[in-house]
Amino acid sequence: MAKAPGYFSIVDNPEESLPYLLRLLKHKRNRDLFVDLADVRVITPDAIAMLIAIVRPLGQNSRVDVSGNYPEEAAAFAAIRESGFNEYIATSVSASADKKGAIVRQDVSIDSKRANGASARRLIDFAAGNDAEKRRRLKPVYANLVECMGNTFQHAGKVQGEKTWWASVFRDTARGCDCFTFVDMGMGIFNSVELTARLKVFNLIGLLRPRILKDLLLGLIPSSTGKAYRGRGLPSIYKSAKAGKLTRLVVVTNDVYGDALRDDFRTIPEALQGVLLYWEVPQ
Amino acid sequence: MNNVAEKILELSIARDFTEVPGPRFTEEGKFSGEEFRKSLLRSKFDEALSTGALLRVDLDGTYGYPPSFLEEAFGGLVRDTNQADVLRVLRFKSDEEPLLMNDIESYIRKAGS
Repeated sequence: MAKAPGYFSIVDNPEESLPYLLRLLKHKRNRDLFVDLADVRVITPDAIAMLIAIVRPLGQNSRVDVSGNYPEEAAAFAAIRESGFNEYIATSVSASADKKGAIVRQDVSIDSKRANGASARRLIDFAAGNDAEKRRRLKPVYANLVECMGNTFQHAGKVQGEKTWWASVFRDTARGCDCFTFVDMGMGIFNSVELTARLKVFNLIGLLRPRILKDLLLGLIPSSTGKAYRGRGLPSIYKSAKAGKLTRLVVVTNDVYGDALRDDFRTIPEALQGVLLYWEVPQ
Repeated sequence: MNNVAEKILELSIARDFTEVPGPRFTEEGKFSGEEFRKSLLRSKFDEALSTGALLRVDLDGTYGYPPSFLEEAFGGLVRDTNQADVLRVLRFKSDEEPLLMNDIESYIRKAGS
């Protein structure tokens, strides 16, 4: 199996990182899989979250014997060890006492594939600790997380509730921000049944996918449900970012990458079947 | 001039419903806007309406509000009843996120238009 890229980050280096993750995703059943992170110099929280979202189901559902190694670079090694990775992937390296991250997933044993405010609360509590003022500042983040869970239920699969989600927080003390990631491995925004019909119309007038993603964030494209009061998820997250509550907002879905506050919307060579949302909040 | 104190009913979402508001619909997850409206808000609203009282909804104390929760609760109340009564009866308190009240007013107005 190929090695993970040196700069392993979907939000900063999607062109190299996504193809590696997609190769993992396509791994055949009943074959051993070695996740080779040895050459990783930098790994960001979004890549860790998506790595777990891909590797864990392979090991659990597809009977693939998954093994791997840690980065040799100390900072990347520490980033994984402190992230909460060990709660979901068994490794020979013990979890760090200085834990900087928490990861939650839809727990089908508790509430089958549905939105769960208690999981969002766990991430907020981890980020805020005992700081009540910070917990108050993180209210829009809680709202974003639950909104994303609802979108996964409604739109990620061919039938409602088919797909599960993962979410994480990482306290990046070096950069002074909390990094939140939300991942669902569904169809992606551009393959959702309702939007596909809508896309045909926009394609006719030359509206390309990066522009469509931007317009979805801006709330300029009506909800796929046809009801004007629906479709508040992405626009509300973008509104949080524009209001200064988030310092970065990245959306990756299908073959489109969007870094909203940098106004960087572009196509990427390999398509993610699902949605990754990433945002940063000042500490 | 009469100086009659208005009767005010109180409803705290954190105290009376949940600290962790959920998605729009009951089928999407626990503590949804639909569940809040049907199990609590509507009966309190009807009580206030029938007694000539105001209903003050306290938004403080939760972890936050997904927009879909708020729209389904309060926009949904307009779709269930009528906008004029909702605007006349409901009042809101939010010391922690004052801008939420603007959002809710917008949902109520759009739901009635």
